[in-house]
Amino acid sequence: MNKNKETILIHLPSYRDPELIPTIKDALANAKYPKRVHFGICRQYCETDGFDNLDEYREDSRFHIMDVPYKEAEGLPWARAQINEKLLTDQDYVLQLDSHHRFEKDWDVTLIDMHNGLEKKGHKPILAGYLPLYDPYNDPKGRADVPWQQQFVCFYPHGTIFIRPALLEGWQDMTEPAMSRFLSGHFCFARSEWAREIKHDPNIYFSGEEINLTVRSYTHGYDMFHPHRIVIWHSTMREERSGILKWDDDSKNGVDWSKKQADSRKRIRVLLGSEEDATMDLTGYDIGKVRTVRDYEKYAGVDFKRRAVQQYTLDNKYPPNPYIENDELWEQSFTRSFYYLVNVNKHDFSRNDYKFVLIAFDDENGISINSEFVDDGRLKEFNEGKNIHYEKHFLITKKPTKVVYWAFSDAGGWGERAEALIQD
Amino acid sequence: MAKIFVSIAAYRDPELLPTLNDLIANAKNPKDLVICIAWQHAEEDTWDTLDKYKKDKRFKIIDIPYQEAKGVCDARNLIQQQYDGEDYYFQLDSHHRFIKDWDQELKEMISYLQCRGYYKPVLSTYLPSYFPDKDPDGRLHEVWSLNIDRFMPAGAIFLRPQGLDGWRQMKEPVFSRFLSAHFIFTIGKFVTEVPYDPNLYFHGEESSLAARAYTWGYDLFNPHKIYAWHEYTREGKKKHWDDSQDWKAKDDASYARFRKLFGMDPGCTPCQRKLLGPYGFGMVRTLEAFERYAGLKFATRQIHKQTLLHKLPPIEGDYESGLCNMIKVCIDVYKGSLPETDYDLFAVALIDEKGADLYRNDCSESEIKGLLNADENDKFIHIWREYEDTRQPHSWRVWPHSKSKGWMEKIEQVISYE
Repeated sequence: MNKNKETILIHLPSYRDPELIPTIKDALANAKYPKRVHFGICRQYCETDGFDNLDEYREDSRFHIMDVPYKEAEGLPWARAQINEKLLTDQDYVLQLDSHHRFEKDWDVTLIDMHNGLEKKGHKPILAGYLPLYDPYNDPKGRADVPWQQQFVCFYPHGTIFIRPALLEGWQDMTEPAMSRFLSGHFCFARSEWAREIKHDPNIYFSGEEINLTVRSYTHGYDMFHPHRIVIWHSTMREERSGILKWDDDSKNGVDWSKKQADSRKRIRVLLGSEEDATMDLTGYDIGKVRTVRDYEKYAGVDFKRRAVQQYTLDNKYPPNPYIENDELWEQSFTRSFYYLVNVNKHDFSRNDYKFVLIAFDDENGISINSEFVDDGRLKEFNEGKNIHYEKHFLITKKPTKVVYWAFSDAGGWGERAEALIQD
Repeated sequence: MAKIFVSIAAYRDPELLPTLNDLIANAKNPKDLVICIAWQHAEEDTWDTLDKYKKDKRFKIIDIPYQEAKGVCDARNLIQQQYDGEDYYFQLDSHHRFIKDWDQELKEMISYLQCRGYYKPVLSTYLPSYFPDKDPDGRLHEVWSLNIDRFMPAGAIFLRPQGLDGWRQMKEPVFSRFLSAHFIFTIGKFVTEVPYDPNLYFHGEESSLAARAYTWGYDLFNPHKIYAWHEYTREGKKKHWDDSQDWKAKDDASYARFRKLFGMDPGCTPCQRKLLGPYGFGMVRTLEAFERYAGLKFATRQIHKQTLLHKLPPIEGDYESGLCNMIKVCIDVYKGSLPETDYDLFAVALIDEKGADLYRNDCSESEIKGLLNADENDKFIHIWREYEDTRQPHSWRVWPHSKSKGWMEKIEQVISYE
């Protein structure tokens, strides 16, 4: 087949987005072979907006458009599912994006070349990642000029991972894309089989979408990579669309966003095996059979059940993490996320002239694992009679067994303390 | 699969072949081994044959007639020149036994340490002993570690094995100050970053290698479990210094090189180090960082209290104030100069250039008896003296006293610092 005939479906879930049209125009203008560029657009619109009118493209056979009044929209994964299930037909590749992007010249050739290079090495590749930013109001001047990657930050208490963008270290010396631990929702480029195989779970409501797609793709045998050159830019469009974002509209319409969020998070925990619930049906959206979740965990250096992470991952070294076959040794190789709700009860402390209050976490031998003095604001309130109450989060290699609250005053010295055992 | 480059320096060793057999038999992935042997051998040693492995593609054999051998560091340097980008480097002697799946276990431990954030880990220790003539029953099932015994007068550090306290309760390797030349397992890059200095002879090999590796960013670990055994006594077996006429000269040159590296000689240290070429320090950490980590100070030959107490590195608390000047001297007295049979006292002193006492600690009648009867075949008695002082003694003096004849001739000797 003539390589130039291979087609790409650009996957655009647009929710009341003034950048939709500029994105389409820029993609076509910068493609080396615009004829092969197709668009799958789930246009979630509001009649009065006006800025996302697609009429000029409706007769163009490359355009596959589904119009949804915004009040009927069911969230981003739902919109993505509509595109992959209803608009994707016989295109060779899928380029999954948001709907606010700019494109490097000949981006279509660059992406296919990167993809096929990795395929030749035996991978089932997905090019993905957080794209560098552009500024819709200052373009092209406001474009970032270095490629990014995705960095593990911490586990959220509800079990998903906080991922943030970081510079792709060493990109200047790279000759091919870098392996990645995560997919990004707003940029994935793969063969269209991927979009058919890894269906977007409409029960996931924004948060957790990326880790869901990541682990399912990996366990289906896909390998994830960050492009080592800039191919596409992205804008967050949060400020620009403030007031007309999905969650803004939901809250205006009285949709209980937090309930949806909680259900969706639980669904991810069950998928990843960190929670059990036999009643939850994941059919069609489950883990793959090529690799296990544990394989992913070993690859990425994370442990979903224990919410633990390897130092190698914290240091943001490129995956795969050094392989440890022995499960017991592997489990031991982690730093754990430790979360504690500090609560110093004023009833346990008699004075009102404390100069310091120390919060110390000790191991079973009384050796301190972590300690800190409470800040001035809380100290002042404590002296005025309020309890000290806050969330504390830090990384440990050894679990503390007790927390000690210790208060110092000039007159009383380090006389007063209270301690509590930390349960599992 | 990941390859392991195995370095085996053998000198006329009847244990070479059994060691190779055991190495391969116990590897989980024997096809992933690249075994390079500096085969320093003699035609007359008919047991020392590698015919079995000569056609094996995993083997790289450097054939060295024993008369041309230049010492173990040179042999290890020659081996390293055969390194070809293998993933791991495994340095041994030629007299060992191994646990089952030693290769898998060692690789996993390197991965473990890397996952913990130690990206350039080195596993090294003095292995527990085995005895070829009563193996495997004679194998010692204890984990050892490397401890400093003393700064030798010529500057090098003398190390000795020491049981690793509490190893049975340990779940992971512990930090170590030094490397043992007979057991090093690390990433392959070690060979190109910390190449073996062929100019060292024997003493100083292990402490200089450790300091150089540390300055290249390697973290030194003592394993908490047994991966292999080593034959220590090697009684009756030929060693390079038995055959070599000029080993003393080589040893002296080696000491001088060591002092240059560690800035222990007067003169411009950076200039001296430049002459060492690729055998100097790395740029990731300084020598001072190593000294603070290990609790040593080379220029003044000081050792930190925590190091003397065999506490695991790094040094905790203040470094400077914990440094002590331990002087440890072995006074070797020729038995021929002690003809009497009724000595009741040796006045033993370490003295300065003018003959003034720096330290005095005499031998009693019972100590003398013990010294004279220690080893019939030894032509010398060995009086060890250890004390704290900032002044290095110039000479030692032993002044024997006989019950019947009173004070005899004084015996004096200058201590060599070169």
